[in-house]
Amino acid sequence: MRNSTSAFSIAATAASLLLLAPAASAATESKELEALHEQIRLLDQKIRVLERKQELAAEASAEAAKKQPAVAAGAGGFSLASSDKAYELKLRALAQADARFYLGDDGIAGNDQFLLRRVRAILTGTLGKNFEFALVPEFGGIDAASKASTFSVVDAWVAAKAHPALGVKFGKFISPVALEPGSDRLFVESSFVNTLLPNRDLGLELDGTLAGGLLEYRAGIYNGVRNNTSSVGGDLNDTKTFAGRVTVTPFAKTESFAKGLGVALGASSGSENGTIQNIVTNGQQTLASFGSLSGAGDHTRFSPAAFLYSGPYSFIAEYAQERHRLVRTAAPLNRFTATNDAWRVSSGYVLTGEDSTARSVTPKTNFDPAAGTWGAFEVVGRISGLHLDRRLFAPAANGGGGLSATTNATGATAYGLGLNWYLNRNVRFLLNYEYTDFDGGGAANTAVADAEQALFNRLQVSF
Amino acid sequence: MKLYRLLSTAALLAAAFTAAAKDVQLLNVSYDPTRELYAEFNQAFAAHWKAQTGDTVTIKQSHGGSGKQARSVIDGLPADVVTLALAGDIDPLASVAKLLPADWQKRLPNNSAPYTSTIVFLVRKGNPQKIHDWEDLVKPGVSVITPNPKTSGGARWNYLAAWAYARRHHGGDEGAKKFVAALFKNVPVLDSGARGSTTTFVQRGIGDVLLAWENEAFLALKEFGADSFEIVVPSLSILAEPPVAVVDKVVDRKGTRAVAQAYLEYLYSEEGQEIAGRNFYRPSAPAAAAKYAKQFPRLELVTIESEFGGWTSAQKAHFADGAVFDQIYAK
Repeated sequence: MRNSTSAFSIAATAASLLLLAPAASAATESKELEALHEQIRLLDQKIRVLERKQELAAEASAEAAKKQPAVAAGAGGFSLASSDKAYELKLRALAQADARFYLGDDGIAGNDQFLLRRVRAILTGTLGKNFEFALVPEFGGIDAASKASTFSVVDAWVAAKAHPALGVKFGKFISPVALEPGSDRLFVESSFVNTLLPNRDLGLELDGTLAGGLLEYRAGIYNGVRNNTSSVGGDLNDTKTFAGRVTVTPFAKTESFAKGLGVALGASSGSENGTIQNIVTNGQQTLASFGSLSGAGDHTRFSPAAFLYSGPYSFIAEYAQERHRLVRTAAPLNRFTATNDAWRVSSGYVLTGEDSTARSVTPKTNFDPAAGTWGAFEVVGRISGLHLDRRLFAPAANGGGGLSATTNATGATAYGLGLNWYLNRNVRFLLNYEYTDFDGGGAANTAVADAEQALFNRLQVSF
Repeated sequence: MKLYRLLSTAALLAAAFTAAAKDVQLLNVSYDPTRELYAEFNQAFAAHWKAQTGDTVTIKQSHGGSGKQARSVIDGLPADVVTLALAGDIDPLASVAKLLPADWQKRLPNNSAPYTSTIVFLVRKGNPQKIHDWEDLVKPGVSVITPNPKTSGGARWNYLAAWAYARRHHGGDEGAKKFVAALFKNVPVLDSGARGSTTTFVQRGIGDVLLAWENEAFLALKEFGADSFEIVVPSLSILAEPPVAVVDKVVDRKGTRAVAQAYLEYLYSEEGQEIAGRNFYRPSAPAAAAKYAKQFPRLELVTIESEFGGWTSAQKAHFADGAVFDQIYAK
């Protein structure tokens, strides 16, 4: 009986277990599933947090990088700038190595030569967004007498611009009178026009653009400088010179062929005394030396110009006239006003089709013989003329200047041709031939003994 | 004589150019969650200013953590106006950088706060962690999202609201310190601003609860839908008074004082208050406040003055280098 009861108990227990087992197992599984879900949720959160922290770290790095100064190097030079560009320092350079040869000049010794025409380090920058400066030392100057190298400061100025229409500049910089002071976009050397106009002067200038940039003006007060020279550190007299320039580019905002058309007028008025700069040919030889004549008062200049840069074509026309009160420093002490004028017409065509601009030609392909590319080529031509006041050459006894009309020329007409090769944005080679026919002159052993034939070559590196 | 003529001409030219300048640009340096508010307000003010003066005013915005923004202005960011999260972030502009006078807060009504806000909780739909009050934020396993009080004004309001609650329920300042320390143990990631924390919670799916500006919480509901999130209103919070100020040195240098002053005053106008209400800020003008009263929950609000003695002492005690927040967060 006991056995049967036990057996019954065991059987009942077993039956109960069999009946309950699935329910217990389901509860356990549900709990395990819940725990697994929670584990997955927590893991998911951990991963999300890690990813977010990485994202925030990347954002912080990017933010910090924005505040780092930017260093750049390229065809345009080298620069160092604060993250907001409010402070920037740019280093550029210009080097011109020339080879000059004068054909058929038997009487003149020592003018065929290699020379470093310009060697400049160009340091420019921005201070606090609205202030700019430039410092340009020249290492390539040559003393005319000794031929020794000289050092000078070509440009040194500070400018402030609070509005496009009004800025102010102080220091030494290019004079506003000439279209291209001290340089020529197409040729190795400037034309006669620049021999009657100032190059760089020291003073205070207002400048700006109006009508949305279609009109540009410059107006200022300067020490006053001899023609075709740069002002030195100070002035030679107390009087000052007023000068200015207005340039209008009426179609600059259009896409027509006339987009690069402009007209300009530069002028100056002042009282300038002292030595008068010799006038040189386009080949940089002395055309007229003013000897015993000296500046003695009013000096006015004006120079209208027109230019067009359209596609591969360029065209520039410029005229200059100066009126300067002069005095003979040797007896008789005649005083008179000399009126000299000069003009030029220049043109260029880029054979390889690139656009010609007032600054340069940027070749579509750089010089790379291995790749079969050669850069850009431009042919250029120029006709220019000079006429000096006949009173300069009138006998002193008749109230004139008494200059020799045989050792000096009284005028000249020059015809120039050239080929410019732009190897890349930074390197160019210029080959010019210029024939200059003189009025007057003819004295032996002078540059004006016979027509001048100048063959000029230049290798220029700039960045 | 020639010099006189030249100078006269130059002066006339300068005067003509100045008189002709009709375009004005302002920079409003603001805190993180005001993007939508000022996007709408700037348009309204520009139209108002054009109609009143004929001038075109363009307002540029800069947004970020309020403390971070204040430091940027001190470091030279040329803000014509600042519209920051708390007065404690504008005070250093006066005391450290001398960009505006010390009494700047008295120059506009309501302590220069044209609108107010408070701190609420944003939780996921269904409130799975059953979060109803500050007490629930220190429970183990609850993940709390709040920005960094060192860089964010909103985070400082969050912190002080929690402190005020704990001071009442956990035995004064000592208990509050432990409570807030426990709360920050549950914070897995510190963003630099309130908008960053919203991104962390809403878009990255991190955390169980976001301590949020009231306007930011409403905006999240509006943008992401009430089927994703819920707002939980705690039993106690803090009255946040985001102030505004003209930055005197900048506007005097730029010549923009008149328009900058008008810009801030327009925040108190009928239209300005209406825009604030529409963007879930509590308007200060009675009419607009009444109009929008229904959209804001009623709850007990403590003030920074009554609870902490003002921003200067709160900043010094809690958020300065080495103060309470540094002590509890370093642990």
